[in-house]
Amino acid sequence: MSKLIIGNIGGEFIGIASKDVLEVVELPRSFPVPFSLSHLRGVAFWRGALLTVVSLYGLVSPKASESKPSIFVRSLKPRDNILVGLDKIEDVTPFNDLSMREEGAGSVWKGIYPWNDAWVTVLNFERLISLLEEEVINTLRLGNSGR
Amino acid sequence: MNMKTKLAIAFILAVFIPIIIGIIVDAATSFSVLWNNILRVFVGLLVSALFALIISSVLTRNLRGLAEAGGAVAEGDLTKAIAVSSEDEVGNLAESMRTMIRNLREIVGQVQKSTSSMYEAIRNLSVSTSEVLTAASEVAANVQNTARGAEIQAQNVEKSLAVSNSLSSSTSAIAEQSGGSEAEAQNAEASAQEGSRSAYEAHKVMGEILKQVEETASQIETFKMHSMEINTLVEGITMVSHQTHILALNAAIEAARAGEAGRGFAVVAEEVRRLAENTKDLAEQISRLSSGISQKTEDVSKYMNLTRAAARNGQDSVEAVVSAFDQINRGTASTKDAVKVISREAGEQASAAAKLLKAMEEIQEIATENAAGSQEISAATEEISASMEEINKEAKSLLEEADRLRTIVDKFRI
Repeated sequence: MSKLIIGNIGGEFIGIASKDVLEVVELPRSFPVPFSLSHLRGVAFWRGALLTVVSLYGLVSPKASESKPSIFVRSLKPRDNILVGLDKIEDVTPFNDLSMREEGAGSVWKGIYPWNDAWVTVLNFERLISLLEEEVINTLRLGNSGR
Repeated sequence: MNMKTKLAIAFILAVFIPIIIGIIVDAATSFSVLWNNILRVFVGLLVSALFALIISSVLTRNLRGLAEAGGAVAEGDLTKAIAVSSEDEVGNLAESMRTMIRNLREIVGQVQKSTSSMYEAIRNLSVSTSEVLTAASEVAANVQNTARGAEIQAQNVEKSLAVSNSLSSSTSAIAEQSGGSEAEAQNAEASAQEGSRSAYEAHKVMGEILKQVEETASQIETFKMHSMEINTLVEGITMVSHQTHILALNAAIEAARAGEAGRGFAVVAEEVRRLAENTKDLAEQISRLSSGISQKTEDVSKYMNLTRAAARNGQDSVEAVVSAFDQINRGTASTKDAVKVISREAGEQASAAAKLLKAMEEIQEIATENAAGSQEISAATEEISASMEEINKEAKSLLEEADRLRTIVDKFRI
């Protein structure tokens, strides 16, 4: 049975399917990457692996830029080397895809899902990780920070 | 030869000499009778006239001397000597005049002397009466001043009597109050000693309180440290619960990934997550409570510091009170002695004031009598002054009379 990890970024509820998550970790010590994109917070060593630390500010809510992520979700697919920051994990709840309203098939948005008395925006986490990975690779290869 | 005899001889000569001459002429001549008679008459007349002239000259010579002497006496000249030395009536008259002039000279001398003495005496009397009059005026003025002074003195004595009366009443009241004050001073001394004992007790109690406060402050510091340790432990528990929560999340993710096989594990993971959340909530409650306790402990510590400072101030104050009571004790003892002395002195003062009052009453009577006597003296002095004015006037008049008399008497030369 799949589960949905419900997090909070700048007051917005974000849902990530547990099947796309390797683990949930607290922020290890990270090192900033020079000339990188603004939402790339840097790199971190975690249990012998070099991970890229990403903040989802601007993607979810303008208020996200004011937030300071305290907990990170480590991706599973297509690669397991990206950490996405959240302010808080609100709940881990059973997830039924049928209950989700499809809105953005093929994009980073998978749809919205009811949780308690609110709606949770469910991310296409695998797609988001793929895009972030490409962006990271382009940044490192071209040395283009996007400034 | 007296004057009668001389006049008889002169008459005889005047009658008989012409007759004799006629006889001689008749005898010697041969003229006619007519011529003879005419010659006889002529010669008789001539000789008679010559004799008459000689006799009158002899007779009036001494009288002229007497007349001159009488004129000199009439002029007041008693120094003139009477140069008549005959033994007839004129000589007797001259001798009588000499005696009279001598007597007059003595009398006039005595009168002149007496007049001079009297004049001098009257002049001195006049001067003296003038001086006496001046003195009497001054005495009258002084007596009037004295009378006014005596009157003012009597008034002042009356006022002084009123003041003395008031003073006597006040001193009596003071004496009574002093008696009461002595008892009050004794009560004050007893109260001060009681207060001093209480202050010593309070000082002792304040020392105990300060010691207790110091001990309590120390206990509170210990309690604060324990509270901080609890906070540290709660932070550790919070961290463990947080990590347990993350671990439970990961366990749930792993259970979900395991599929049907992980269903039981997912339940366990969920329970662990709930326990972690409960633990976290409880830890947060403990943390809040501990923070509240820490805050309260901090407040209590501050209050204890304030209390300690207040207790020290209180102890200092009580020490000051003890010191003050010591001084009060000494002061009340001195005050009691002083009040005792004052009470005794006030009694004596009251007695003296009563005597003073009596003396003042007597003085008032005397002063009133003095004032009345002064008034009488003043009136008498005025009368004396008026009499002296009369006497002075009379003395001046007498002096003028004496002066006139002296002028008259001085007309005599002796």
